[in-house]
Amino acid sequence: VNHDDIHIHVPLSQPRRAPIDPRLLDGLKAVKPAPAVGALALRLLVLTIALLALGALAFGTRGVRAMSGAQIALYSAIVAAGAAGFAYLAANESSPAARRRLAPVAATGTFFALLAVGFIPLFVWHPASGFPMTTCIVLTLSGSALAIAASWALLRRGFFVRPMAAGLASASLAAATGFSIIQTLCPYMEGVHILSAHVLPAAGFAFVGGAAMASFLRRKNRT
Amino acid sequence: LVGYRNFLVPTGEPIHEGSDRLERLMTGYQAGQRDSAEALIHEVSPVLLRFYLSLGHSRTEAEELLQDAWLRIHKARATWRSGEKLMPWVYAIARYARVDSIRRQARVRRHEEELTELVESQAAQPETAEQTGEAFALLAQLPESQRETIVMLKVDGMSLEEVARATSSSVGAVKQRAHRAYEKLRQLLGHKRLTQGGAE
Repeated sequence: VNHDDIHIHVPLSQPRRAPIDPRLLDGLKAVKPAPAVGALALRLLVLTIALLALGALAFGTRGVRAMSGAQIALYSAIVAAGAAGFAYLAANESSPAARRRLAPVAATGTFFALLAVGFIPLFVWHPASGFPMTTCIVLTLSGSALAIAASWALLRRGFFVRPMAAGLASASLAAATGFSIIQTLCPYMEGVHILSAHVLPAAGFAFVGGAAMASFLRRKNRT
Repeated sequence: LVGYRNFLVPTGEPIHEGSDRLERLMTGYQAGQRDSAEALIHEVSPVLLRFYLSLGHSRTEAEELLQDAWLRIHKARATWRSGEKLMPWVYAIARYARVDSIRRQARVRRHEEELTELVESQAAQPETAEQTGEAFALLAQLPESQRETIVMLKVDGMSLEEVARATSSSVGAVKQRAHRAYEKLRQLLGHKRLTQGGAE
């Protein structure tokens, strides 16, 4: 039997009650269709770059200037790839019937694993250095929070059929932005400091913020 | 599957195949045209109602889910992009409405300390023959994910790509679910034919 030729016939019937409150249709307004997924991802990426530029203007670029050429190259490559990937994933999740669904948890894990295993070993390792941690942690989390709030302005019109995936993708994009801001401004070039005051707070924000965002999106999806 | 042509029809015409009428109506709905919105609701509602009934809900539950789905579709209407097929988008929201409703009911029942595999029991409850007919009775014996896939593919005539979009999964996963469903249906139909033969 060729399954392609088979159609199962089940008769249709109209509902007994009006499926939608007529008052909603009385006040029907025109809506502007959401941009294509690619265009939305590009806007999220532009927003990320703008926030990074704003951070550099506000706090300076001593961190980048203190890094070696290899460190800058790897840092730029990981952050650029991560931001582009997370922007695409977040934009894709805002569309109910998107073409390809990927798992943001794998992307988030890979991003922070690359930072921890690939980027941090390029720095000297002095656990007893005594560099201040609190300021960097606060700035990383503040930058991430600002980024997720700003990205919501672009994502708010979406409908998220996978709230957890959408929350994780948008929180990871924000965390990548927060990490970039702190890494650009912080001049302490020491492995333990970068891991515990830059990378781990950003990773924590991605997962905890992702769960919080998912809960928020579920409430938003309700009628 | 040959021999059961009373509900397996090789040339059935799915409502949305080969036409962009629904997409045009949706464009009108987005533009605020009430006539388009009403026509769209009139055409799509029976399809969604059949979808919910095929997943084992009673007529009353299915109509409540339908209302919930339309509220969400109304709220999310800006997220449909011109040039996309409409039905995968509609189904994606309708599925979400159902899952969310089941989750909420489960939460309520948990508070009442009576939660016992709500999702499975709801999904597995076969409708009465009067309400659903032979095809639904047969579909009711499939696991939920397979049933959903078969309804979209073989009742509504959606493509593999469209079903993948509607169910947030890959084309490969849809093919696999469909293949398993065909196997199961073949077994069920074979068993039924044997039983009927025995009775005769």
